[in-house]
Amino acid sequence: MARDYDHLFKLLIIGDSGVGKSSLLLRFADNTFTGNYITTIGVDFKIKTINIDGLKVKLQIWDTAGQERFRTITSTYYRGTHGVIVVYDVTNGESFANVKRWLHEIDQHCDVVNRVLVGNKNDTPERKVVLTEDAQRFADTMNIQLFETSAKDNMYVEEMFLAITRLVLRSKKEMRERQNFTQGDTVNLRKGNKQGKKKNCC
Amino acid sequence: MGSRLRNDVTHLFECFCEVVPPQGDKNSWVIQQFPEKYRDEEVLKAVSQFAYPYKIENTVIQHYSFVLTNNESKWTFGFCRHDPNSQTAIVVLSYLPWHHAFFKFLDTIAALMHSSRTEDLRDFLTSVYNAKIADPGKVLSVSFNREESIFSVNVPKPYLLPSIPENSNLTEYYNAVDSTNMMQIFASMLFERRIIIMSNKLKRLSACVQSANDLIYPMHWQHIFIPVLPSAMVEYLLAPIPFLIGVPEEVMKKVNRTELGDVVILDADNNTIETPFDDLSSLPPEVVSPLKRQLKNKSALLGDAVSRAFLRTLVHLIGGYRDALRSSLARV
Repeated sequence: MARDYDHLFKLLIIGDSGVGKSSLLLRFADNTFTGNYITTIGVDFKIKTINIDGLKVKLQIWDTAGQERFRTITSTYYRGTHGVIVVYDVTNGESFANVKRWLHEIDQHCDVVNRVLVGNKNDTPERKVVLTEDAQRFADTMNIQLFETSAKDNMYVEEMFLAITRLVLRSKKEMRERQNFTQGDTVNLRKGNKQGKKKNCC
Repeated sequence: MGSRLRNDVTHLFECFCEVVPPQGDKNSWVIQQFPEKYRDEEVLKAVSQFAYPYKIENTVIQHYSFVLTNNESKWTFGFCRHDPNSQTAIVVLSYLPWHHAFFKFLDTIAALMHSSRTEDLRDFLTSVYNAKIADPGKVLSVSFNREESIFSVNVPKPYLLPSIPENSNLTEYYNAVDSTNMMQIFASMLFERRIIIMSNKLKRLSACVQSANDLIYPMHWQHIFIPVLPSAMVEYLLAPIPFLIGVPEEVMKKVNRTELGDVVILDADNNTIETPFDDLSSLPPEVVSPLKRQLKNKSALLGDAVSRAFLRTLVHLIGGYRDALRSSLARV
């Protein structure tokens, strides 16, 4: 069967329950029916095909139940994925604290993984407790893009998914270029310390 | 990280269901249930799928178990019985992992379903549902059949390791899979791989998956855990995150292996393993060699010796973890 896409990317959505992960997915995903199994087998995924820079990219976005029980999200959890969407709820300080801990953890393990930070439920200003400035400052120190979204009002959801897709596309392209470069006739004396095995440095 | 079992269990079972197999375009469905008040539609729909994971042709009575995972990632066990003399399958849902007791419970229910008095089954289910769960080590008994028969359950003691032959899951796993492959699965679980166990027998499938999980005790598998995967959910094998999934051979035929990525596959019918990893040789040899030695001594493996050998390995491996902890905080 012919493939109906140029790229297939697997993404992971991470965050406490109640931050609106499933609403974000529902808002973004194609209407194709994939079942709803998060409450019966603890895992679910949604699919969306998007056109970006003339390429057809199929996204498979995976969600799992009860992530609070992970005090750390280790590389075993996302080593098979192309990118991670890290979600907190702007009306829930604890969900932001958890997200911060996870991202610090990822950083400490020097894992190179494409990621975006998402503050969801940004639609009721009087209930907002995680200030944009604080989140932005944190995002800047972690060198990660921040999106404040509302799945309810459909604000910035599409933009956020496009951004992570672009990140994955870019890192894929960079990797291919590196491979082409190292497979050429020239011997790159520096490849060991600079470019090789960057992905699996842990 | 905690156990996936619940501690707030009040009933021996949550729900009993009788499931009609799929016919033509019609999916399998629950034709009767007890108690009537159990109304979790998502779960009931799942029960009908897990009771007929694919088109089953039955020649013998077969018991197996499946697992549902809720939003808090806690497990509910489904115990299922297929009988070639019956048009339907019967299922009991419970928060308790007591395979032996629930398979016996299903056999008693099956006998009562053929009883001439229809109230017998309802009375029995009502008594068991309302019976207080006895303390560990004690016996829960319920009389039925107008006091003529007694159904009893030995409530397992905590910290008791699975034994051969008492624990039918471990016995099945041990008989189907040799010790080297058991160690491979053990090692791959410690490395949190994506692991498939396949078989054409549902009983063997669920027994191997459940036992593989029992053998990492005192650790608990935190990831996707599906001892029997229904064909409707075959796409979940594409999950990029760690899993331990039992796949019936019929369902495996629908899978495009090249799409699976890096995955460990144990064929429990042929006792073969395919893996892109070197997980077993990545464990410290001084930990693996004693395990190999203990599992080689076949005559001494009755009782809990297999469980104990794996537990000893884990103690060896992680038992001294506290010595490696350094804290700059005064408290802790």
